[in-house]
Amino acid sequence: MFTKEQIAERGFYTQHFEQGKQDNSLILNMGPQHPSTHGVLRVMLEIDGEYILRADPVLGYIHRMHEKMAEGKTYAQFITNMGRVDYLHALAWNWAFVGAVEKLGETPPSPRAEYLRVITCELNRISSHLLWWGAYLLDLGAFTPILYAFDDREELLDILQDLTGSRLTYASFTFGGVVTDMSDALKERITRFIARLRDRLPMYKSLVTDNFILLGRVEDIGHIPVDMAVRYGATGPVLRGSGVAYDVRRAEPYSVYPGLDFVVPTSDRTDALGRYLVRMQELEQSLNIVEQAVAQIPAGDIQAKMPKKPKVPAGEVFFAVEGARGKIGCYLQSNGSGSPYRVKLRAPSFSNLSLFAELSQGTLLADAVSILGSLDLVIPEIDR
Amino acid sequence: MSAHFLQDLPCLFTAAQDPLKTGLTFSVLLPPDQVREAARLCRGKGYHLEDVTVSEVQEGTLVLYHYDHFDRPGRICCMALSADNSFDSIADIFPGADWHERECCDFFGTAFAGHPNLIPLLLPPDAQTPPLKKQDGNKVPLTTIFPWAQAPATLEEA
Repeated sequence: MFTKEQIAERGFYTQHFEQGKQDNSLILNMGPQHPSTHGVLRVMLEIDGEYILRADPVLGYIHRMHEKMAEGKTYAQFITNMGRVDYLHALAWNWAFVGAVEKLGETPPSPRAEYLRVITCELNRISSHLLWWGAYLLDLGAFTPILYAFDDREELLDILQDLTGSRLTYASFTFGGVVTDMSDALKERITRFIARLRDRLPMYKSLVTDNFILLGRVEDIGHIPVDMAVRYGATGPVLRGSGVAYDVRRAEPYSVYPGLDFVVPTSDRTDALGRYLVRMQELEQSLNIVEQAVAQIPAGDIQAKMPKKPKVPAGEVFFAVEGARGKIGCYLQSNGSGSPYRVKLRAPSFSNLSLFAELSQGTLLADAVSILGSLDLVIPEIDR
Repeated sequence: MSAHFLQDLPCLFTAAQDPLKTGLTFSVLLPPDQVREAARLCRGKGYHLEDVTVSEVQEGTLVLYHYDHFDRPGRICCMALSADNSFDSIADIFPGADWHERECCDFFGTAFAGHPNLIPLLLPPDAQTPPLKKQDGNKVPLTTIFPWAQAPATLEEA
């Protein structure tokens, strides 16, 4: 790789921060332990007064080299890694990898498992959005909402614990199915939870969304034109907040989503408020999806009949799912052996954060915090 | 099926794929000097860059660009093969490629000519060995993974 001299010559920062600052400006190091850089994100900023001249996210603090681990493990052993890439929507990552292997091996899961995957994945999306909502408002100075969000989320985690066996680092998808079945009692609890959250959402709207203090912090902040999203490959609510109705569940339909009735919320605002509103509407849509899936779930096995060790033929496959933060992709190359030849994990936050340097230029420092929060970053997913 | 817009380029091999089987609609193996032209064509057609990744085969280093479209979904994959582990950067065409190319440089030591600042992204600045590089004995021929691409006998021929 690089020698010490080369490093000194090239510098460490994309924006050449090691070369110092201009007159009358200030270089500010934000993170990796700043309260608003959740996870371990570090951002180098050069500011003139309170205005940002240039910004540079510094990555790698929680890099674990999942792609290398994949090459040394069997296919089944790698599923547990998938619970640890994005700790907020781990089941979507489970699905991306398991789905890629199933697609290449042409071994679809059992029909009941498809529905259980949709139910758990959507509940997980709700828990992710709830945490984002609470944490984002915490960044903006509102302390109370996160207590409400965690109250709801706690109930959700109890349900997911019974459905998957874990509360955070889920690894409950198997090739051809899922690990645990849903009992009738659990069905009841999910139905009660749907009613409960539907009851709470109007309160969240009147308490927070309509609050003029929040609007002052998110309205007309961080405009992402569609062209910028295209250039950087931004997806998920970041893209839909700019008015593009692109959702992998509809664009590249997988599992039983084509048979479920839901809309893809968008907002033409393109600012932080647009992204906020999209996520709040997605909470409602995910509740609709779970409700339908619980009503339609067929009886049967939760595991399709297939060998314990999947036989994966040589070849390549790209399988994408819609995560809470955007398009999660698993690109898999197999040489026909028991371990993957090459696994590439496409993380949505990676692309969503890469536009921050351009987006934050010329904004106020306090608005940069609002922009970072509106991107809904999960750093372990970026660093992998 | 009408000709794919990428077929206007001097492709080495092309393949229409079944998205239900591979998740891709079209794959193309290009000479390394054509990846920038392919990126420009995709940019002009409104495609976005999903990721840039590298893989190693017996014939050399393989770079893969995945493009997809927001309004007309259908993933296309542009690939190029290099004997000396270096390619042209497309970071000026798709700024999103900047980080992807730095990541590839971290993991495989791949050089991207024309990249604005090819410094480590995820690995520490003094990391010495690209972790994903394979031993020669562990590499498979190109055609094992891409049966549609008859391996060129030599890269010069390609």
